[in-house]
Amino acid sequence: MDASAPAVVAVVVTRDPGPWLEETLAALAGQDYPELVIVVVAAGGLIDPTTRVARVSPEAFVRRIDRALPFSAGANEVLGLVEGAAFFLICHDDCAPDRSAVRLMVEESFRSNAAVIAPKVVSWDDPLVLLHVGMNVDKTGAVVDRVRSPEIDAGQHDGQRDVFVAPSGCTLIRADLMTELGGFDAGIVAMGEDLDLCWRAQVAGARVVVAPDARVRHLEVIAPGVQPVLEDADAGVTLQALQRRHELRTVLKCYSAFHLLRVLPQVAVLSIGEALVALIARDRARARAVLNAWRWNFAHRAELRVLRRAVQRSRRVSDNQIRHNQIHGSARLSEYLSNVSHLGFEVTHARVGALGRDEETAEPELTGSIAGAFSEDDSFDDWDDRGRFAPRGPRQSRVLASRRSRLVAGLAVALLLVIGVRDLMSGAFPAVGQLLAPLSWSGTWHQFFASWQPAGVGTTAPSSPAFAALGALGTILLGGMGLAQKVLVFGCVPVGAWGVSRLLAPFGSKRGRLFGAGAYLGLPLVYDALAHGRLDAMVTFALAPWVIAALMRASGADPHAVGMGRHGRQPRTQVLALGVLLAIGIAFAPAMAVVVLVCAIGIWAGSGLVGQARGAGRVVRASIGGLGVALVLCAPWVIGVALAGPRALAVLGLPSAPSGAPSWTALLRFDLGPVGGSPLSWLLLVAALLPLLIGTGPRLAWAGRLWTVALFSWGLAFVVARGWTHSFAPSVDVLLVPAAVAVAACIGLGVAAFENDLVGQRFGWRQLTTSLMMVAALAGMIPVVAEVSSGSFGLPASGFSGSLQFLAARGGDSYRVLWLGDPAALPLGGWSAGAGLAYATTEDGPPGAQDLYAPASPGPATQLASAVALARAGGTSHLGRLLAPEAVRYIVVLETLAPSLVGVQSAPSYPVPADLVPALDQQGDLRQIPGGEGFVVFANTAALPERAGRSGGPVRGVVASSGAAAGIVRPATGDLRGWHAVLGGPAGSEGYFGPVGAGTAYVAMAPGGDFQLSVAGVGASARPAFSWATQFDVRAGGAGALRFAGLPFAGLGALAELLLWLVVVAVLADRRFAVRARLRALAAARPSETTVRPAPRSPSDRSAGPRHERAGAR
Amino acid sequence: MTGPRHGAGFFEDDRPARPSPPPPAPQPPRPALRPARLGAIFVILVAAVGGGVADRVLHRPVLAPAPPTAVTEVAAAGVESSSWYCAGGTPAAGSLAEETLGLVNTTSRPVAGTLFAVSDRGRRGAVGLVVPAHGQLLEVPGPLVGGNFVAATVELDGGGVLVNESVASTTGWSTTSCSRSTSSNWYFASGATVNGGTLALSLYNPATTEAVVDLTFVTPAGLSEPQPFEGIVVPAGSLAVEEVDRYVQDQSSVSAIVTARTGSVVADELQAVSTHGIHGLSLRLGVPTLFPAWSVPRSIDLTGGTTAITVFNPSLRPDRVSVEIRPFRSPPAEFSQAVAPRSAWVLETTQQTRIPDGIPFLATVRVRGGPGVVVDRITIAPSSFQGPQFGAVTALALGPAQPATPVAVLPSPGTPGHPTVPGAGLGALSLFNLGTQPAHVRVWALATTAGLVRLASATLPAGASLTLASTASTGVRRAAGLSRLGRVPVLVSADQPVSVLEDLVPTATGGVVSLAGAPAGAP
Repeated sequence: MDASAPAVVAVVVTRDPGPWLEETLAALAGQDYPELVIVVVAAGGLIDPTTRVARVSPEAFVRRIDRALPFSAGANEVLGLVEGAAFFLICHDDCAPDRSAVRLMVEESFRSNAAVIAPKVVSWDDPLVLLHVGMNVDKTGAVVDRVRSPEIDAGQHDGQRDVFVAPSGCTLIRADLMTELGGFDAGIVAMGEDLDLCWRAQVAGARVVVAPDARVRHLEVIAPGVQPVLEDADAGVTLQALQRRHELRTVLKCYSAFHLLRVLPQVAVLSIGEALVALIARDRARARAVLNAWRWNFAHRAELRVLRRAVQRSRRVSDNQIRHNQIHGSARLSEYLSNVSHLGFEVTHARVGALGRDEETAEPELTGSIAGAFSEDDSFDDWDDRGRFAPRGPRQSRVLASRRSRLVAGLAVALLLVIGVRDLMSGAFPAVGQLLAPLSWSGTWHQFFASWQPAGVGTTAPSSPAFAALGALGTILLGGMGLAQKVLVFGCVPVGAWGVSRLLAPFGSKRGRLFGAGAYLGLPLVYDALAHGRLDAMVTFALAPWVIAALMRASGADPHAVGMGRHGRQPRTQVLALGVLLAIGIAFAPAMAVVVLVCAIGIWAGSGLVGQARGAGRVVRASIGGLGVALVLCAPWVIGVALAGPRALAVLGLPSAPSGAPSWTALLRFDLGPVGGSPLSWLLLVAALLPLLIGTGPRLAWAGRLWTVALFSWGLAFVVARGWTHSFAPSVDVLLVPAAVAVAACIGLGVAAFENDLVGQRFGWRQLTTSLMMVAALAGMIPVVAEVSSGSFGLPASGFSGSLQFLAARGGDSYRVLWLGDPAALPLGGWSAGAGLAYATTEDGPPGAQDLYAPASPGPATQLASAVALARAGGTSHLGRLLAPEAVRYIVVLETLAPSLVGVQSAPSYPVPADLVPALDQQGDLRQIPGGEGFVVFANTAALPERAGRSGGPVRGVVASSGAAAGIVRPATGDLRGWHAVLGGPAGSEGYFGPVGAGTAYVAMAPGGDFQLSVAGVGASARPAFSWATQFDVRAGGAGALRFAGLPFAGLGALAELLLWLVVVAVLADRRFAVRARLRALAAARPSETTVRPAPRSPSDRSAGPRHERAGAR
Repeated sequence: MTGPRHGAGFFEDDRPARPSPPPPAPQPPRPALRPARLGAIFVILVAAVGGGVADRVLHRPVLAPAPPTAVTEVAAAGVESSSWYCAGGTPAAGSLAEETLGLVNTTSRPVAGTLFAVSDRGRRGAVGLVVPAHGQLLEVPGPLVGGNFVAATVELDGGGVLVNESVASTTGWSTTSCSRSTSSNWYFASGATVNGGTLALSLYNPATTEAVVDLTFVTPAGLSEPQPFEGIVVPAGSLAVEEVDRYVQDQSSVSAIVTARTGSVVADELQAVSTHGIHGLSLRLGVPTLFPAWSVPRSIDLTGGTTAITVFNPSLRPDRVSVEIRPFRSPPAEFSQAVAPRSAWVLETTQQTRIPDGIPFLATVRVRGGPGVVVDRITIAPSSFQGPQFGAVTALALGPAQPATPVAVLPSPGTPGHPTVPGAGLGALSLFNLGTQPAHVRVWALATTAGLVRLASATLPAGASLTLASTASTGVRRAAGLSRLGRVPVLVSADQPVSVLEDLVPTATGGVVSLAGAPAGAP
C-alpha cells in the first residue's frame, strides 16, 4: 500500500444480485487506485453472494446480514466494520466505475476540499448516454437532474462544479464525515437517501462536488422497478411515493426553524396545487403520492423530531448559505409548465411519470411539435414524438376539443371569476340594488306563506314566489341564507355560460361551445348587473340561454330536427320543463315573461328572414305554452298581480328617467355600468357576424335567427329606456339578456362554422376572416378581464344600510320610511310616481329582503305618491302632515345607487326630478337631516306612530274632494296631537302586543278591517280612520293584542302552489328517469352503434355527426 | 254505389259516382332551401344602423332643471296649504321700519291660517287669522313678539292668498312681497352706506333645519367678506339681522350675496336714508335666481334728482349687458357694458343726455352672454320735494323664467281704515307686455262685498309698456276707473303675460315707493 494514498473502502451493498454483480466487482477490483478495499454487504436475500464475490475479487470482504436491509442501512454497516479508512466509496451493486474513477474522485476531493464526490454516471449499456452528473435541488427538496435524460455525453458537463446531491449509485464520501453524520438515514429505504445525506453533509459544512472525469456505468435496476425495494407491507408503495415522502422528510429535518416556517407553507401550497392538477389529469398515483407524503411524515413525527434535533446540532452552515446552492423557484413547477407549454397538457401527463422520466405507453404520443409542423417529409408524421413509428390517418387538432383541455379552460375562467369577485366572497353583500340582507331561513318561508305583508301601508296580496325559491335554496343549504344568496348571485354566471354551451351543443363543435360560453362570460352585461345589484338581470342571465335553447329545440329546425328533445322528451314535457324554467325566472325577474316572448318572436321573425320559416310557429306556441305553465306555477302571485288591473305592469319594472337612458351604441355593447365601456366591446359584436359570413346550413340559419332575436332585444330595450312605452317598463338589463345570449351563441356558431363549413375549401378570405374574428372576440373580452382586478366588478363596497342605520326604530317605536328615487336606485320594490321617480315604504328602518318584491298595487299607499306630487306642484307646505296618517316618520330621497364616500367609493348617479328635493325642503313640517352624498333624509315632525294611542277622541281627517289636493286625506288640526307609540313588535308581524291606555288606538295598517284589537281581553270596537286605517275605542286600558284577522287566502294559495311545484318536479323527474331507461335499453339493443362512426359526409351534413356519436354513447 | 264511401264528403251521398281522380304523381323531394345569407346580413345591418340613426335623431330628453319659481307667486286656489315668509321690519310703532303684513285673498272663499311671528331675540308668537274672500287683511306681527326686528310666517289652509309686508316710519315707507319659499342664495343689487345710511339684512330661517349663512358684499372698492358675516348661524325658526353698515362703511353702492352653506333662509334688505334733506326707506325681498332679462316699466329722470339702474353680476363669469331706454315718444338709447364677475354696474340715467328729463321711460336690461344678473332701480327725488325722496325697487324679471301667468295681484298699502302711511294709495299702474302679441289687459278691484270690480281695460302692443293713472299726464293714460279705486287690492288680468309695477303715493315723486305685481293663477 502506498503510504501517501489515503485508504478508500468501497462498500457494495447487494441483495440477491443479478448477473451484473461480477462486472461491478471486477470494475472495482481493476481500479488503478492502490489503497482500495472492497467490502460487500449482503443485506438479506436468499442467496449468499460470497462465492460469486470470491470468484471475481478474492480480496474483497463480505459482510453477510441475515435480515433484509435497505440500501441505506446496508451501507451504514461499514461504519462498524472498518477503522482507519479515509474515504468510503458507497456503491450499488450495479455500478461499474472506470479504471481510474476512484483515483480521480479522491484527487478531486483533495483538490476541491470536498467531502462528497459524485462521478459522472453513464448508461450501463451505452456509456455515451449520460445519466447523472450530480443533481440539484430546489427549496422544496425536489431533485432536478442536471442531465436531460437521455442525453449524449459530448463533454458538455465535464467541468468540475459544486452540486447539491451526489447520486447514491456510486459516491465517494469522507469517512470522518460519514461517521459524524451517522451514515445514511436508515428510515429512507430508497429514493432520497442521497439527497438526505448530501443535505446533512452541507449543513455540517461539507462540500459536494462532481468529478466528471470519473465515470461510472450504472445499470439502475431499482428506479425502473427491475428490482423491488420493499418486501414487506409497504411493497405496494410506488417509487414516486417514496421519493415524495423522503423529500419532505429531508426538508423537515434539514431546515432551521425559521426557514422551515418560511418554506413549509410554500411546499404545502405547491403540494395541493400539484395534487389538484394530478387529479384533473387523472394521475391519481401522483396525487396520492403527494398527499401521502404529508400523512407519512406526520405519522413519523416523533422519529423526525429526534433526527431533526441531531441535524440541527451538527449545523455549521446557515440555511442562507445552503439556499445559495439550491436552485430558485419550484423546479417541479417549472418543469411542469415547460412540459405543458412544449408538449401540451395531455402529453405532459401521459409521459411524465412518477419520476419525471419517460414511461412507456401503448399509444403513440403526438404532440404536434413545431418540427412536425414544418417537416416536409411525409413519413415524418408517422413517427410519434418519442421516436416510435405510429402511422396515422387524418388527424384533427385536440386543442380545446378534448374534455380535459376544456375542463382546464373552464377552470381557468372560473379562477378568473373567483378573482374578480374576491372582495365579495366574505361577509354580506352591500345593500345595493336588490342585494339586500337576506331574511332568516324561517323568515323567508314565513314571508312566502304570509297572509299579510307590510308593503306600502299593508296588503293581503300574495308574496312573490321568489321567497319560496330562496327558502328552498336555503333549505338545501341547511338554512344558510347568506350562503344561499351568494350561491344564487355567483351561481348565475356559470349557469348562464353553461346554458350557452348547451345551446350550442347540437351544432357539432366543442370549441364552438367553449367559445360561445366564453363570449357570454366576456360580455359586460352580467358584471354591470352585479355592479348595480340587479338580481333580476343576473337570474335572467342564468336562465335565458336555457330558455332560448328550449325554444330552439321546440322549433324542430335543423339540427334540432329530431322526434324527441335532448333528453328524449316529448314536446309536452318540453313545454312543461320550459314552464318550470320560466317560473323560476319570473319569480325573481317577472320581466322574463317578456324575454321569452321576445325570444320566440325573434326566432319566428328570424326564420322568415333567413327563408326557413318551417317550424317557426312552433316556437311561438311553445313560448306561450311555457309561459302558461309558468303562470300556473306562480298562480297565487299571478292572481294578485292580475287583480291590480293596469298597475299589474309595474311588476315587470318601473320607468326610469329617459334622460338617463343608455344610447343605442351603449345598448349594442351592453354597456350599462362600470364594466365594458371600452370601445373594445364592439369587437364581440363584430365577431358575432362570423357565422353570417362563412356559415352554411343550420349554422347560418340559426345565426340569422339569433341575430334577429338580438335586434328585437335591443330594439325593445331602446324603446323602453326612452320611455316610449310609458308604464310598460321591464328592466333594460333584463331585456338585453337575449341579445347577449344571441351574440355569444353567434360567436360559438362562427367557430362551429369554421370547423364544419370550411372543410375542403382552399385557404382564402374565409379563413383569414375567421382568424381576425377570433382575435376580435378575444380582444373584446379584455374590458371584462381587466375589471377582474377590481375584486368586485364595481359593486360599491357599502350600501345605504350603513349610512341610514339611524333610521332603525328603537324602544317599541313603530313608523314607516318613505323611499323616493329613480327605480334603478331604490334598494327595494316600489311603485312608480312618474318617469324617473318611484316610491316605496319600509317599516321601522332601512329595507330588508322582505321589501324586495312589492305587490303590483300599492293600495292605500297611493296617498303617499299623491301627497308628494302635490308638494312638487307647490300644492302644500305641509307634506309631513299629509304623510302623517301613513305613519311616515322619515323620507329618504336616493340620488345614487349607494352612498358616495369621498376617496372610498363613488356610485352611479340616478338623479331624481329636479323639483323634488326643493319641494321637500320647502315643507314646514319636514326637517332635513344632514347626511352623506347621494341621499337626502327628511324627518317628518308631524308623523304619527304606526300603532299609536292617545287619551283623546278619534281622528276626524277628511278626504279633500276638490282642488289640487283632491283625493288626499287631510288630517284635521287635532288629529295629529297627543299620540304615542303602543303595541310594539317586529316589523311585518301579524300580531303586536303591549299596554294600551284608555282612549283611542290608531293602527296605520291596511286593510283596516282585517285587524282586531283586544285590550285586557276585551275586544275594542273599530272604526275607519283617514278612510283606510283603523282606530279603536279603548274604554279601559290594559294589555293589548293586535292581530291580523283576515282570511288567509294568500297563505293557502302559497301552500297550494308549493304542492303544485312538488307534483311538477316529480313528473319531470319521472319522465327523465323513464327516458334515460329507454335510451339505455336502446343502446343495449344496438350495441354496434357504440362503435359506429359516421361515414364521411358533405359539409352541410356535418352537424349531424354529434348526434350519431351521442346516440352511440347512450 | 249504394252508400257513402269512407271518408267521402257529407253531400256526396246523392251525387253520381265518378271515377276517382288519379293519384298525384310523386313529387321529387323538395330540396332544402338555403338560408338567405345576404338578406339576413342586409336586414341586420340596416336595423343596427337604423337604431343608431334613431338614437341620434330622436334626442333623449335631458333632465329638466328645477324651474326657477317666482318666490312671490300666489298659490293656486285649490292647493292644500301654502305658506309665506316675511323677513323684514321692526316691531315697534315709531321704530325704524314698523312692519305691517297685508294678506290679499283672491279667491271667493275665506282662507284660514296662522301667523307665526318671531323676533330677532327669539321670542315667538302666533295668532289665527281668516282672510275674507276677495278681501284684504292687515296684521301687525310686532306686538306678538317685541324685539328689535320681527319676521313672520303665514301658514294658510289653502291658496289664492298673497302676503306682502310694508314698513313705515318718519323716514319713509316701503312695501314688498313676502316669499313663498326659502332659498340657499339671495342677491341684492343695490344698497348704500354713505352718509350714515342704514343697511341691514334680515335672515329668516322658517324651516326646521338650522342654516349657516355667509354674506358677501360687492362695492366700488371691491369684494368684501367681513369675518363677522361668515358662518352666521340661523337656527331653525329664528331671525338674524345683520347690520351691514357697521362693517361695510361709506360705500355708495353695496351689492350683497347671501349664501347658505347649509339649510336655507329668506332674506330681506332694509335700507334707510336720512341725510342732506333726503330721506326714505326701502324694503326689498332678495332675488334667489339670476335672470337674463329684466325690465322697469316706468321711470322718470327728475332734474336735481337721481335715477339709477344697478346691474349686479354675482356669478363667477362675466356678463355682457345692454340696457335699452325707451323714453315716451322719443328715440331709444342703448347702453352696454361688460359686467365683470362679482361686480355691479350702476347706470345713472339722470346723467345720460340721451334720456330727456321729465319723460317717463321703459328700461329693459338684457344679458347677451353670461349666466344672468340681478337688477334694481333707485329713485332719489330732489330734497325740495315733499314726502319721502328715496326708494328702491327690484326690477321685473323677464323671459322664460318669468311665469307666463295672465294675472298679477297688487295689494293696497293698507286699508282705508288703516293705511300704511297717511294718504297711501295707488299712484300709477305700469304694464309691460312680455309677449309677442298685443295684450288685452283688464284691471280689477278686489272688493270683499262685491267681488271683482272692473276698473279699466286697455290693449297693449307686444313689447310695449303702458301706464295707467287716474289723471293723465305725459306718458300716462287716464283710466277713469282708477279714480274710483280706494285702498283696495288690484288684480290685473291679461291674455298675454304682462308684468305690472305700481307706483304708490304719497311720495316725493313716482317710483320712490313701487311694488311689483305678484303673479297668480286665474281667480
